Amino acid sequence: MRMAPTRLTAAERTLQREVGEYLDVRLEPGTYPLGLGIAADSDPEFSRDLGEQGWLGMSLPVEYGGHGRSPVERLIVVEELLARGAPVGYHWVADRQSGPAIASVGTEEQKRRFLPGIARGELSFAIGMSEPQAGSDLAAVRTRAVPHEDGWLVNGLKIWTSGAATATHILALLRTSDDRHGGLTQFIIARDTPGVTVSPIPFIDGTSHFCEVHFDDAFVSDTRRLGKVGSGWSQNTSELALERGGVDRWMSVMPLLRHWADHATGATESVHVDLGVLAARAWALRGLSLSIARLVEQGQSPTLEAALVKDMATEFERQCMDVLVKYFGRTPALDSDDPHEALLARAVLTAPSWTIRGGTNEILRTIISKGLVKRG
Amino acid sequence: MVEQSDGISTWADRFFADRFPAESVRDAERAGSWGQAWADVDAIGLLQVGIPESRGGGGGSFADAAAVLASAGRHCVPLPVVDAWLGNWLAAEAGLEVTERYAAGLVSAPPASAALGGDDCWSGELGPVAWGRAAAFVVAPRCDRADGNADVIRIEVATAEHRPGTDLAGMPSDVIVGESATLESGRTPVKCARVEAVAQWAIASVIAGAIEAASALSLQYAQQREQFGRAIGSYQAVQQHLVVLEQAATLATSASSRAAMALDEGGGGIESLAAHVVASQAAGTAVRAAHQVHGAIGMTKEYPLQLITRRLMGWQQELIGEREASRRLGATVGTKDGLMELVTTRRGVENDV
Repeated sequence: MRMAPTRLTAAERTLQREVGEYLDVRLEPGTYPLGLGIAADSDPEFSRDLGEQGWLGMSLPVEYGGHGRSPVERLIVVEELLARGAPVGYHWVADRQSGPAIASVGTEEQKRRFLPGIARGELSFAIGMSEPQAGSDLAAVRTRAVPHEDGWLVNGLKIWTSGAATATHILALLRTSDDRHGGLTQFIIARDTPGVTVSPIPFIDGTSHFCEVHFDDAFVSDTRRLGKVGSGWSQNTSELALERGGVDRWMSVMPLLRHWADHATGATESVHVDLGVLAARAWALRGLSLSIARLVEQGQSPTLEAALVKDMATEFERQCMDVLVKYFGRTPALDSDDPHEALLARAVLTAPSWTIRGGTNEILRTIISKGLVKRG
Repeated sequence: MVEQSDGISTWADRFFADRFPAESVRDAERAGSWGQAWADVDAIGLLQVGIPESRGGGGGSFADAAAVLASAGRHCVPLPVVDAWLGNWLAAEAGLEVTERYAAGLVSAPPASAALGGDDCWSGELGPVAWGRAAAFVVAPRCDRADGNADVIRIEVATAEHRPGTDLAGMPSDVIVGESATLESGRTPVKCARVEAVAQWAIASVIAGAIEAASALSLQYAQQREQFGRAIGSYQAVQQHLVVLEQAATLATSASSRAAMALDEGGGGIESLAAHVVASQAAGTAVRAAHQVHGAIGMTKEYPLQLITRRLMGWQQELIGEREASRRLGATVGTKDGLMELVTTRRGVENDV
């Protein structure tokens, strides 16, 4: 696959500088909990501050509180945040996909109701997709929405819903008919809706961002249906597709990689060799992410390219872990006073999830190879 | 600019596909008849793309040259395309007239530290030089000055001997042995770092093209070959290899074109090094994946896969080798903020080479 190379414009470099300078002050090292990419802590105040700077909801239309800025500009902001392990947990999903989804297929009322809050960093969305019987095979979802009065009654169970406990809203994929793909519909559900119960699922590293969400005759107004009845599958697919090529796919470990690299002056030859391999790979992946963002900016839809990148990116994160752990030289402690050691321990425990979330790599590769055959 | 490079890519692809079908590459290896092929490629001007017209080249950018080199890689052209292009480029940079248009640049051998007996005479050994025996001239930088600059020398091959050798792809790879061989010195010294960077980018470009060819061939094979009642490309395990192969092609191609863009902007030192590391690694990955998809038939001389993979195997450790290139890159970015600077392209255009 050939993706045209692109360079940052002077204006984009200025933005890069501005964001970097702001974060150097707002997130002074040692004053916030270091995070691993998109799994970082939830910090509503920080999200609001970013919103105030105009760096959330960047691609959303200006008339709904967004900033009408480009995918490349958003990439620059995200890069600066993830490189620092910033606490992006509260706003991440809303900013990255729920906001754009609402902007794309939402009603006028939904746009007015949700987009300004997303751009201000006040709303937090969780993704209600997976269920006990429906992971990779997402079309197998069973949680049902049945018409009731001027809305829908929802019954069922969503699982692996990251951030649901602190979210204000859940964007759920629900079954509205028995047609496997054609019977799915998206809904925006307020977390505090009666009948909605969120229970934490203790994760391998002791955190509880993972949640179960029980729906027990929860009533959802039809004004909260996102898009047409039965359009849920295609909306969901396009929501995920382009984001697969994003920098968040290979930047989970950047705070640790940077910390290691920053102190590699005069290190052994072996360190330099391994660092060089990873640095070249990161440089290459960033080039692909940037090319994809530029293509989207130009109105294209490089979904196959994005899937190709996601698979490579998450493999890269795994390679980083192999190297970092090797050079750390002993078992890192989760409760260490050294924040980087503690982060490394957390990374060791949670690393297996990186090649699973957002589309397990095995499934992704099947999708990619089918796409390659189609392109011929 | 992208459109212009695309046009050149199409032109080069058409010419190479027509002039060098797989059988001709096999014949060249078997019979050793290459001379006319080089003249044909020279005549059409492909080896002068990206070399300034003012210096006797064909004009165009590094991006255009990347397109030609990648195309040559895709078609396993049985010529030292990288070395010849580098030779032309080096001669032009040094103010040497590229009259004969046969100039094999020194790619994998250490820079010439040969004895110069008088101003126009050379004695010593140089190489191995790809296709040394078939070149009219060999140009080489003498990177032994303290200021990082190099004088470029050009040796007339007809006035020297050669010790013949063969590389992994079955192509000639000869040590030039001179005893008072005719030599011409370049008028302008060149920066060693720049020569290195351009050579690294050139190798990355030809690797990228070859991996594209391996990926296309493997995809096609996986759809046609049936076992257990269905195409082998329908098995998940095989699909994994096809994806890995296409990823390698994408990484190498992107790396080469980004390095070309940086070189065209007057920089490109670190991008070329990074591209070299990426491409070398991708070459190894691609060879394994392509052969795994093909099974036994891919290991035969008859089937065209080996034409691609033997070249990749050779190019993977060209110049300073994968490990040394990685080490240099690691040493460069292994400083405060070094990694971020490289990865998030914080550096503006810099004339670092």
